Amino acid sequence: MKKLIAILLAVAVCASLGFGAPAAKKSIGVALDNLNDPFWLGIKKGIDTAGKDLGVDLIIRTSEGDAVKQNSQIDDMIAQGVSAVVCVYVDSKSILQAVKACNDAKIPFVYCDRTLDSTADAKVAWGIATDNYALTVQGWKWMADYARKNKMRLNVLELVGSLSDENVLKRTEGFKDVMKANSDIVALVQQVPTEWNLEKALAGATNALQAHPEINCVFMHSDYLLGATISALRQAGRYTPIGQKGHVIVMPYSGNKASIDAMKDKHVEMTFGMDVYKEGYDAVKAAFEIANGKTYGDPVLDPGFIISQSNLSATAKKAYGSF
Amino acid sequence: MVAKRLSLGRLLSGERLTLIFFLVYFLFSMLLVGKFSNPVNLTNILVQSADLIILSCGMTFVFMNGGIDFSVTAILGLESVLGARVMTLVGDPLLSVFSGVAFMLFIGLAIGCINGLTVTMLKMPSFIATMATQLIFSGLALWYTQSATIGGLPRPFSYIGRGRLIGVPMPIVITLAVVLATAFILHRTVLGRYIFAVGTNHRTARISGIPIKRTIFKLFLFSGGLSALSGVIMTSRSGAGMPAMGKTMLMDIVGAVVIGGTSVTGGSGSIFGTAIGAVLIIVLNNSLNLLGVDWFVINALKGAMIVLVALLGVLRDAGRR
Repeated sequence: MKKLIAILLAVAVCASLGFGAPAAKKSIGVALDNLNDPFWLGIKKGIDTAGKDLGVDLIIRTSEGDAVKQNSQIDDMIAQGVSAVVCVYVDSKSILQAVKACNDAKIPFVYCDRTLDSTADAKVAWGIATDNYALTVQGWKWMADYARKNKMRLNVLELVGSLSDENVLKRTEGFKDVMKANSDIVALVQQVPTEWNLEKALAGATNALQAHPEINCVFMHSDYLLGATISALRQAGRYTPIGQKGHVIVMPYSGNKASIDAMKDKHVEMTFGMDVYKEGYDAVKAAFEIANGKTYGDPVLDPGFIISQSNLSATAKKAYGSF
Repeated sequence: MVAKRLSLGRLLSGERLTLIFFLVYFLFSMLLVGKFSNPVNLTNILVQSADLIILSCGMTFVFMNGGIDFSVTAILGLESVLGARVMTLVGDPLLSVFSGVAFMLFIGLAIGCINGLTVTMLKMPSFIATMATQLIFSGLALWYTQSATIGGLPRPFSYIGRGRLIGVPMPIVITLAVVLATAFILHRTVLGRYIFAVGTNHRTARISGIPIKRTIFKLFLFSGGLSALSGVIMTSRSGAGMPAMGKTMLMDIVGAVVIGGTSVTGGSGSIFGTAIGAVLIIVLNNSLNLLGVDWFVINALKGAMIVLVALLGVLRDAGRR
């Protein structure tokens, strides 16, 4: 037994000394937060297409929402010799360690979907994301006009995502600012922290609808939470078409298939649309070009678009739920 | 027949089997997976194994009594955010690191103490007791931070997770010390013999005059303390206190202990086996990642490996009988 172990050990050590990796063609590391939702698949579709168009190898990893794991994955990518890293980060603070590591290895770091500011010792090469504040303000202004036109007062239930997500903070900020400007018709009744967890969203929405029957509008930070919201509304007997008695306005965010379908069914008035395919595509393209010496300017903030019942057929095509 | 059974028993004996499997897999990865043998990648594997090894060593103690500690991930989250908060409140950088780390270790030991008391005094099964503390303390971490992370940690703190001692990454140095110390406690001290005896048979241990409750209490203290130490490294490496820190690690921790040959029913196990099991899991992740295998396939393979090793453990136990 000892001999067998000794032989295996010796061969493994010899192999570690003798077998270096062959030189490979340039590759780009892509560190994703998750792939458990069509939103992420929409970004990934853009990333894959860009990789194909540019003829570059992509090393794609997902951290399942674990920030520590994501940093380890980026360390691995650096060890593999990628020429650039594209990242949809999990946590805006801990990712700075990975940015520093990329800086030390002289590998450009490009963010995608979530904005990240450079710090003194962690420089971001470029980035593209939706301007979540602007999009939220745009959508809520639309909703405030809609409420005024229909002589409604909106009592809002807000389903909040993870507070370590920069986009969530911007969506909350945008909503608060429009609410402040329209305090005569928009009021926040309850906030439910979901941490992007469907069970928590379902339980929170169910409890809130029971405790506050005056709620007539649900604003969620992602349409990932739409299924849980619809279940809670159904349980409360309030998932009715637009215009019918007891109807609750539902405001999903990002434009997945479920929200587009709910709009086609006339259950949902509007949704906040994000061009996530373009984000993924442009992030990889920029990472590739920066790694090849091209200089990029300021990061891009895409204003997004509003999908409403009146422009549904024209704009829904841009939403990743229609891909 | 007896000789055959004995040799099968020897081959399947926990850590030997894990070591052989690890060496074979490592060898194949070296030969077949491009960039696996890159020195930077091998260093990454060791650094990334550090947290898992330390956490799994703690879990091994609890497994030795046929129990489990679900609260380890809650300890990671709570100590991470509270330790980070302490560090941001204290002005002097070195003092803040010292007080933050001390507070983090205290939290781990305190939760381990609660688990130990609940299991020994209230006679609650460990999976219920630790599931309760898991829910309570992970909830507390989320409530305290509203699921936000705490950044701005003092610069000297990053040395624990990203610094080097004579060229060796600090997490590796700490892990090596933990493995040697815990292996010494388990295999070379009276307490270690008590742990094996209590894990094998409570009644016999009691008749032999072994303090059962005190021994079991110490198992949870080890688990809590080592979870806290691992959390210190993880927080330092991340540069932020995170309430959801390590939330996906429980399966890997249990996997490392089982693959390392520790019996799920208690009474047998080894720290070295656990350490090899933990490195094997990281090597598996790393090599399959390099091959471009999807994460859900990797998870399925890890699950299959745990089942396989547990099955071999059952065969081994049957061989002994």
